[in-house]
Amino acid sequence: MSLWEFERHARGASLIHRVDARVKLTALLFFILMVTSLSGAGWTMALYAALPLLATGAARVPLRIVILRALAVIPFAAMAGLFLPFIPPAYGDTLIPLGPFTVSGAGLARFAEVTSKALVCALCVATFSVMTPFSATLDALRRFGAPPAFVLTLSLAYRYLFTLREEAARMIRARDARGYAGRGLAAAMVAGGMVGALFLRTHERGERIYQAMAARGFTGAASSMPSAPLQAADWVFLTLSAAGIALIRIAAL
Amino acid sequence: MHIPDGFLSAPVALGAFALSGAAGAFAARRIHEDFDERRAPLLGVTAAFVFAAQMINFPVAAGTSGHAMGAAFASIVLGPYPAFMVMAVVLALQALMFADGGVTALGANLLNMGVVCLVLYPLFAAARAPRSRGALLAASAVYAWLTVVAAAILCAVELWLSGVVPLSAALPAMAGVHAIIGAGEAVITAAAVSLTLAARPGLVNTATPVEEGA
Amino acid sequence: MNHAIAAAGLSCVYPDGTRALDGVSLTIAEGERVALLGANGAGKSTLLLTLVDLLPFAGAVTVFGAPLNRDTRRQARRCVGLVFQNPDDQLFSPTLYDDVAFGPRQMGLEEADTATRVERALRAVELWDARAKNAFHLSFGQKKRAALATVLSMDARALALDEPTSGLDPRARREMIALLAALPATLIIATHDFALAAALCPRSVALNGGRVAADGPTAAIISDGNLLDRLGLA
Repeated sequence: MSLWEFERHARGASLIHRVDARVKLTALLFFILMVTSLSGAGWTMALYAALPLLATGAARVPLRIVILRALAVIPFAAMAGLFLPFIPPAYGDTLIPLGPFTVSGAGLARFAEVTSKALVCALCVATFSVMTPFSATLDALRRFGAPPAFVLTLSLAYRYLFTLREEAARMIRARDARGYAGRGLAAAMVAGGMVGALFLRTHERGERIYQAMAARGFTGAASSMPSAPLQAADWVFLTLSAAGIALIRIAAL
Repeated sequence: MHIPDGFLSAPVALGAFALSGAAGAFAARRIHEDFDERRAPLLGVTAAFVFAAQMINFPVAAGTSGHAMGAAFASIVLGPYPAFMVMAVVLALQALMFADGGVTALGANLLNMGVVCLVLYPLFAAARAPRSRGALLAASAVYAWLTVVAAAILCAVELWLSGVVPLSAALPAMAGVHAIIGAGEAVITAAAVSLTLAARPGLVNTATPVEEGA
Repeated sequence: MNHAIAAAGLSCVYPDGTRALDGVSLTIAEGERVALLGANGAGKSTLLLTLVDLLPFAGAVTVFGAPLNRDTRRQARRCVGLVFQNPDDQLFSPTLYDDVAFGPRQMGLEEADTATRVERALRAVELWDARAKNAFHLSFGQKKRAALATVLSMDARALALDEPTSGLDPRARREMIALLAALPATLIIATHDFALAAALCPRSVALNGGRVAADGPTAAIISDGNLLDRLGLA
């Protein structure tokens, strides 16, 4: 899945896409706090997973997109999973055979808990980002009082992410087109040279962007459109999502 | 290694947020005091650069490939405080846009990948003090290696404190693996600094003044 | 006659010692359309940047009657809209709308006033429907037009354009020329595109090694084989 495909979906026009980003960001944070505060995995986790999936369906975004993105947590979880056989069993613990190893039951339960939390939260983040244009997220952060310099930097990072990735891809193609097949130290040095060259271009671009801003009267403060006040639909979304998230959490007590 | 949501216990996550937040407030003040407004857009594009640089991979052995992480390089070329801001932006973007690194783990990830560079920076500054090209490249390589290994150690400790992994196994394993990954980062960083130094000598030394005239 | 821009003995030296401009003197009247011709490195872009004090320079520049210095440069930048050669440098905001609104907002205009100007500028370059897009999703021709819109919204009295047609396909190039021809403002256009110069600018100034090599009717300059050869433009 390409970054562009994701970005294209983020500019969709469904009802959920049009909900104010401040509302969606609030719901996302509430969701993550409630999920991470659960103890133990189980049916509540499945219910929580259903919420972002429902939203994805309602926004008519292919499920594949959010699921693929949520799988970003798998490498980290796999790394943590490698240490399972080394967790010393607690008193009265059940020992579970796992291939050639024996694994502490308590350790395995804890691992399942944190991994499922990570997956469910990542699913919700992916759902949020595929249903919110990034410009709206930036505006929400600004409205929530994030420092203007931070928001400006974040906005430029996002804007030039696309441009610089293309630039890096062109450099990689140019390297590989010349039959490059280095390995080890020599390859790392070539890669380092490319990183340096990319930075030089980045730096020059930064200087030109400053000139382009200054030429239009940049004073050091970021500016953007003031957001509209929350609409009825925003309040409905906020109420429904908060109620859903809270009900599942209460049921799990 | 970006820690996702769910892996950290509340005290660990909150403690990391407190430490990173304090470092962020300090860095913001230093940037505000001595940062030229002309360089404000540079922070944003450098954050995008850190993303893009991670695409430039190189084969290590047997089908695995390494890539740059860029935090140490950013500190060397921008100075430690602006680089911290850059890493905060990179991690926030990854957490909010790419589900890479958790929202509740943002403090811990920033501690591992940002605060570490900030804390180790004086070592780098002291090591390259002779101001020869060799000293600079050697200091860059060692600094890059240290930031990667220190990040891995911190990550292992955070996971242990959260009761997810046993420290006795995780600490040596994480440190050992990242000692190797860090070697790749060290070579990439030194080569990148070397090229930057040859083309624009003034860029490498912005944190401590070396005259370029620009 | 009122001068839009007057430069006398303008020089600019880069940190590496390159003398990019070396004693350029030039006056451009209000409403005039002038092409800046010259090979790569002749000083065209540097000249445009110094006219709004984006590079340190020696000599004297007057912009719409005001001597250019630290105190007057904000005003100069409002009067002279600068369009960069690479639109990716000029379009730095998350949406096209924000990019076109950047100048008016920095001028401190009310949001309603800004909105009117943004709509007018984006409609002028036929990109109103793309206003919510990130610049990255535009074609190169659209980006070039969008970059123009970012200064049209500032209602500048003069536009300084760096290679407005470079990299465009023949059709996009024709559209750009038609767009520029319809603008009422004073135009200073740095370009290699002789057809553009001939179509829009009665007068051309040729630069070579940071100095003015020729200043006269465009038709005479672009038909002078010896001159073009000397300039590296033949």
